[in-house]
Amino acid sequence: MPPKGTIARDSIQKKEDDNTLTAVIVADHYETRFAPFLSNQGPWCLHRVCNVPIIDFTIDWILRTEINKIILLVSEKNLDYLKPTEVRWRTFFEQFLLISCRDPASIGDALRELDLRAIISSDFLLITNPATFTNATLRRQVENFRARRKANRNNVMTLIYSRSSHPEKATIGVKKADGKLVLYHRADNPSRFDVDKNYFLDDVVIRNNVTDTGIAICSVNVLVQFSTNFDFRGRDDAIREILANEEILLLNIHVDVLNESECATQINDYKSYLTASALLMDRWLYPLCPDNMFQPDEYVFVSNGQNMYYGVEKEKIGSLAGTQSKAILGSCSMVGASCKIEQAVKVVGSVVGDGTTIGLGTRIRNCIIGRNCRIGRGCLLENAIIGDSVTIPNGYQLEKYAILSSNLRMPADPLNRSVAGYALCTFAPDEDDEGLDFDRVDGGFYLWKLSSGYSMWSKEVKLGNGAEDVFSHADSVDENVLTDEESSPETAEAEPVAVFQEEIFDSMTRILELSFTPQLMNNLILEINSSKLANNISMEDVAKYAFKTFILLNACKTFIGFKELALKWKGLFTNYYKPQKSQVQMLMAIEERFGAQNEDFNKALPNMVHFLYTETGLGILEAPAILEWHESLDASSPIRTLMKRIIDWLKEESEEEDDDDE
Amino acid sequence: MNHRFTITVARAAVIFVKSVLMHREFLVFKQVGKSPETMTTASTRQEVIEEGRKHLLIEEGRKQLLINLRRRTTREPSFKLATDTLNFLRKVVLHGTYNNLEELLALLRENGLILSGAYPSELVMRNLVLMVCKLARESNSRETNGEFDSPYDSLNKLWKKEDKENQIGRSAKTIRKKLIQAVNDIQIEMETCREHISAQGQYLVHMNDVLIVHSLSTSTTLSSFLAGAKKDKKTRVFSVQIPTEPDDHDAVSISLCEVAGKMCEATKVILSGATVFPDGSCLAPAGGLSICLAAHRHSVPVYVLCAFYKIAPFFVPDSSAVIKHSLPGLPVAMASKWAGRVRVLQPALEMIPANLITLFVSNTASIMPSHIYRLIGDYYHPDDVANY
Amino acid sequence: MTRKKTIEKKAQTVPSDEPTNNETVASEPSSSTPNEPEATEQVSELVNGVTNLSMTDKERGEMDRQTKSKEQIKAEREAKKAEKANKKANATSKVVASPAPQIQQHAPQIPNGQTLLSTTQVSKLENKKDVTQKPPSPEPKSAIKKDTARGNREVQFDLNTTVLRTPSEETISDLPKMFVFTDLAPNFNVHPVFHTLAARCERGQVADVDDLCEEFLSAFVKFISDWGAERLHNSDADPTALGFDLDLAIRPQLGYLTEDGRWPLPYALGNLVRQLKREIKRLDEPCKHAHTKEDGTVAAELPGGCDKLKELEEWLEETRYSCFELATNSISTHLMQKRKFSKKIVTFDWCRVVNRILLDSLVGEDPDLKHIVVLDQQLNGRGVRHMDTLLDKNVKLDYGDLRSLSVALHKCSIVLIGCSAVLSNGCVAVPKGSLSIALSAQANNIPFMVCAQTFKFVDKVQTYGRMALLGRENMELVPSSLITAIVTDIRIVPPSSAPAILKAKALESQN
Repeated sequence: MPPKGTIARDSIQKKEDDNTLTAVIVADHYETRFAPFLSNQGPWCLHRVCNVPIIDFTIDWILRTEINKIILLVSEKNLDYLKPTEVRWRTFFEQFLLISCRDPASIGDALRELDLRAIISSDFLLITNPATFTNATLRRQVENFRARRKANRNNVMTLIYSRSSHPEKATIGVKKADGKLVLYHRADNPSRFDVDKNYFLDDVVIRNNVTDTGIAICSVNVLVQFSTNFDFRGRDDAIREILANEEILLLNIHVDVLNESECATQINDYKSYLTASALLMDRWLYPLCPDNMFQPDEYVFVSNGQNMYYGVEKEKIGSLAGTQSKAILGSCSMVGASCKIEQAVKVVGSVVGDGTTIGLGTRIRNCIIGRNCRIGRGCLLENAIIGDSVTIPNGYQLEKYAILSSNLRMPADPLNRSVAGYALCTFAPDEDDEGLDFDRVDGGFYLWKLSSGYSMWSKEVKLGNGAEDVFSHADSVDENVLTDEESSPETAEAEPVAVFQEEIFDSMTRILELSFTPQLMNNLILEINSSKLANNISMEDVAKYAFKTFILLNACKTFIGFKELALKWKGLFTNYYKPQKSQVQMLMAIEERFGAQNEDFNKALPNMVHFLYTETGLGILEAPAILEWHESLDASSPIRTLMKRIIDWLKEESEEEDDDDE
Repeated sequence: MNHRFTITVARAAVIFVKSVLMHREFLVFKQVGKSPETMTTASTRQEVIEEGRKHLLIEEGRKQLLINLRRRTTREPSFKLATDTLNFLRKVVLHGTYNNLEELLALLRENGLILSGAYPSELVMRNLVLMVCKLARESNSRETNGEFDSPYDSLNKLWKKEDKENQIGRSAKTIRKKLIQAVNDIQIEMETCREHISAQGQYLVHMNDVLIVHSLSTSTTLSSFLAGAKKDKKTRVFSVQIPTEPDDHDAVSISLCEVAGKMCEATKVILSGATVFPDGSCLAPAGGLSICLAAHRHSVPVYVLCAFYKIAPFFVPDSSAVIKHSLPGLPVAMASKWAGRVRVLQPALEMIPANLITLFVSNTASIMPSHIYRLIGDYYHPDDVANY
Repeated sequence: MTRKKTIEKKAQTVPSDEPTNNETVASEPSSSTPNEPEATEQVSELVNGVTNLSMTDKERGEMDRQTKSKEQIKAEREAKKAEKANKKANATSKVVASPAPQIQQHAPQIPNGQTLLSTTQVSKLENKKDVTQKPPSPEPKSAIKKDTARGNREVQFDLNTTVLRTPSEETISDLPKMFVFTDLAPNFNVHPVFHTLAARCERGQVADVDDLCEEFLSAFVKFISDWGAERLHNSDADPTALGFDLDLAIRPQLGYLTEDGRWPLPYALGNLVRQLKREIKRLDEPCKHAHTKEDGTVAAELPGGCDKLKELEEWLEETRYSCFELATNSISTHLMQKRKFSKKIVTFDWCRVVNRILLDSLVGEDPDLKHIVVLDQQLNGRGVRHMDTLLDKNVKLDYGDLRSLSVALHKCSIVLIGCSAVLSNGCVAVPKGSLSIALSAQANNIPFMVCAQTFKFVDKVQTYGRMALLGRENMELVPSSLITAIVTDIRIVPPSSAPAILKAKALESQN
């Protein structure tokens, strides 16, 4: 084991050519919400979720990726806290660097520091929030990134998104072809864009059914971005910058989405804190789960297969006798080591820290309780976060969404004001961390709140309408996720015409891929009929939407393409567009498509109609249909002008026919 | 530049701190505890360092083993796990510092406990530790009196205390030499046992048999067994698996819910066991139980493949502790809705009672469930099992 | 018995018209406009075709096979005359067709039925009177196209790959699927509601047999109202023959749903249909009394005795009510006692009755004491519906597939499973996988209860591999020896007393 300095140096020489990934983790969290817990107990990344320091989880999942170099960016004051972590993990990696930054005020500062020191010269995995968990190995994503880099040096960044539905959903616009990010959500409101219409190109898909995992694969250029503009605070600033002046920088960002089974989450507020611990305990992030975390000198857990976890005392490690506790643990709950728990205690969906005592008949649901707390008898705790060594008197009923920082002893009689969405502390916030207000409560407590007016508890809750169930939001989100997914059963119950159109579009595209045979046409018609029946679509609508979807096909982008495909699929048209009604519908479809702003189509429109009419063309339209449709058009519509020539010509033609009759 | 220097210093310091910590830990774990003072006074600093260094090697080995276990995203075949464990134990024997049998056993046990503390569900680790303990006793007593007789063998030996190996223990050096030898033998036995098992396939499976197998894709032993069977016999194989699994080319894959219906066609059921307990019950991949019940109903024989290192000399108080649940196989979009409210059951293993099993196919022989305890005799020593 | 025989026979005749059907589908809307030159001699032949009952099915099948397409072209052209022929045909068939078994024997006439149909495409009215009907007639080119249609089967299979199938089923489901598709062609004498029903089943939008029955009933109500409306306009409809005509009219509908008896209806549905038919038969007798007794009503009566239809619709409505609402209620009340003491309930797959019971079991109980486990054939299957309903109830929930069976049954106090039918020998037809659950339940000595409304009891002892409509609903039989009890809307009974239930039902339906 050579001394570290040499490692660092020769690794630096190496880095020019090799393309090994390095993980860069910003150990500190700059979310003011967490201040009540950070003041005196080290950086955020040492805070515990499921009784395990966050950073351990993070490093553990990095262990399963191909990465074997880790750089931790720590603010100077927290450096010593992280020493033991380094000791614990450094043997697992080829390189494990602790980099102390002189009191950074933001993620940006930390990254600038990193760039200043020129330690990184290769691509790296940027994790700006230490509390970022996933069970993906990122193999595919990294490969894609490298491939893109090879193709074009300017593909500097890949943002990794997951399909898991998370309360605040970022909306993004992505090029369908190569997953290039073209639209990024606004800073203030993640569900909004700040773009003008013309951004909505044909091949851009707007996705809101994915959530940002907080993981990004970057090349050094991104660091440069940070050091060049000193006002950048977080990652998103850099992204917006790159997107905003794409022309100047010529840098591209891409988006990669994890697959169905790969879960990912990060902790931004207390709500997501609870969610994350639930996900961990219910094994959604397996193999990242508490009983796989094992530090004989720190913490060991056994699970009884029911997603109930028990901390194990040192002397019991490895013994086969299953740990049993008097507590009635509901599923998805955890009790730390050497807890004293009396009879008939119910713990559901909660984490109880080591050495905590809980009194007879207390009920705990969806809480996270710190270490060495003393909780009295017959208490009722729901949806609350409780710090270390907090004392709660007997029979106390804690408000929902309360946040109690460490070393509190709650008075026997309830407080004279609501604490829901506030943080209750024994001390006042420091002056220097802005964005925090406080007011005193009797009993010498300080009630912290965000000056932004948002709830301490959750990002999307304004105070006042504070109390909302932890999961309720997630649910509502989940609904629209389902509707986004094509595969979901909901679509079947959705609005029939839409479904119908979607279905036949699918079948058309599928048939396009196959080599053409007349039988294929029949199958297509079969499918159309079947979905017609299944969705109760009238014959008119079939005529209309069939054609509408037809001209929406990629093959029909150009008029030429449309022409030959139409000729090829003549069977389809002869089948549906015999009756005049359907022909009119067909024209209506064209008319509707006309509305959308695509010039080439509009130009092609008269030719298209003509083509559909003449025997040389498809010859399915008949004069009366066209005329009838033309009548129906409103005088102002531009189509009239476009159609004028054809209409006149048709008119006189029909007259001639009349002459012939006489 | 200066920051790099600071880091260097920090790193150097850390290394020292670490070694000291490990040293401490070592002393703590050691049952026969010499306090640091006595040690430093008794032996020169040099020796302490030396001991520390050796101990570090073991530490590293253990860490490395645990890391590899951690790195895996899915459960590997237990053969690999067994070999890794054995290699580590060999390291312990090699570098461990002990003067007589007790210390060696203590050392092994201590390391073993840490391993099985990290992975309580991997019973194979425990088995191997106990196995090596037994070998240690053996190699020790071989020194004393030529042959070693298993205390399981005769009842009337049980009452008289066997203390000869304690009093006339041989020097650590000889024990070490012999033990390493024995461990290597075990290694070889392990490597060969897959062939042996697959070799038995040839006469356990008959012409035109219709086999129902479970978790074919994960168990290499099972697949090699089938290969051995297919060599000269023509058989039909139904492989029970979940639809998402990749299905085997020469086996018809059926889902678990069809098994009960299909059983009437089958002539044999072949499972791969994860652990076999002394009473002949065993842990098998989840789903095995319902297959066995169906087989029992149609009185179809059930064979369970288990290499010798899967035979455990102990019972598990509650099987739920050793049965791990894995990732819920559901789209993650459901996660935020379900997490904390619905528990998705995904057990890896399942306990199958002895009465449902016809035969255990081990590398040495095919044994009836009721005779498993006999094998235990020649792999384990009761004292180790008792105070493990 | 005769029913089964005829089924087989039909099965033989079917292949003859399969490719042509494909063709019709292909050219569906246009074929609705027939074109009309002349050909007279054909008609007489037609008439023979129908009336001559001495001919055996085989011959007729053959005869039809070569002549069909030609016949039909001309037949179409000859709309008017064909109508007359058609009337004759009905007349003749009416004579014979009154008692049920004989009708069954007529079934093999399908081929001719086809020719008839083609003639009648012109006027819907005729269709209703037709004895036996078939998917619509092909256009001329069908004869040529046959082989291509055959050649491309597999192309057609992947049309509905969306439908989920267990691998073992593919063997049987291959052939049928073609028919399902051919049947999706709008069939001019089958009411659209039935098309919709069939299509929905085809895409697995109908969850289980309960939903199917309910949908069928509602569909049938629609059908009757339309049929009645048309009958009103039909001046020469005989009021006394209302039930009979209706009986004739529903025949093609059922024929369509069962793919001409290729597959039996699902048991429960079969029961409903049987009762329905009985009701329809019944329509006539009271109607006659009405005529003889007070003539004042006759004048007021709607033409064709359509007012009788009201009774029928009421009957349908109250059957629906009793089969679903009432039955479910009483079942869940029967179980109340057991549920009180059962802490952990295990259920399998989706069943609305069971779901209702689970929901009821939570009312007025401490949710922390309840524990509900839902197993599924494979993860993210139909069992998830249970979850969606139970999520917010704060009750302890487990979900898993069959691999987690032993964990689920650990400390479990009762297994509740819904079924699609109870056979007279006490076996129940349940979703695949229930058998292994029953076995392990027995092994762990846990009561294995089956919930079944009485209309699910059938007087049969064997199952068919595949059912009409719910063809892909994979069922298996659990023998009575493994069943602790069946919870019916009458009371909780041992499986051995299934015959008693059947008897009770029979008595009930007589009065």
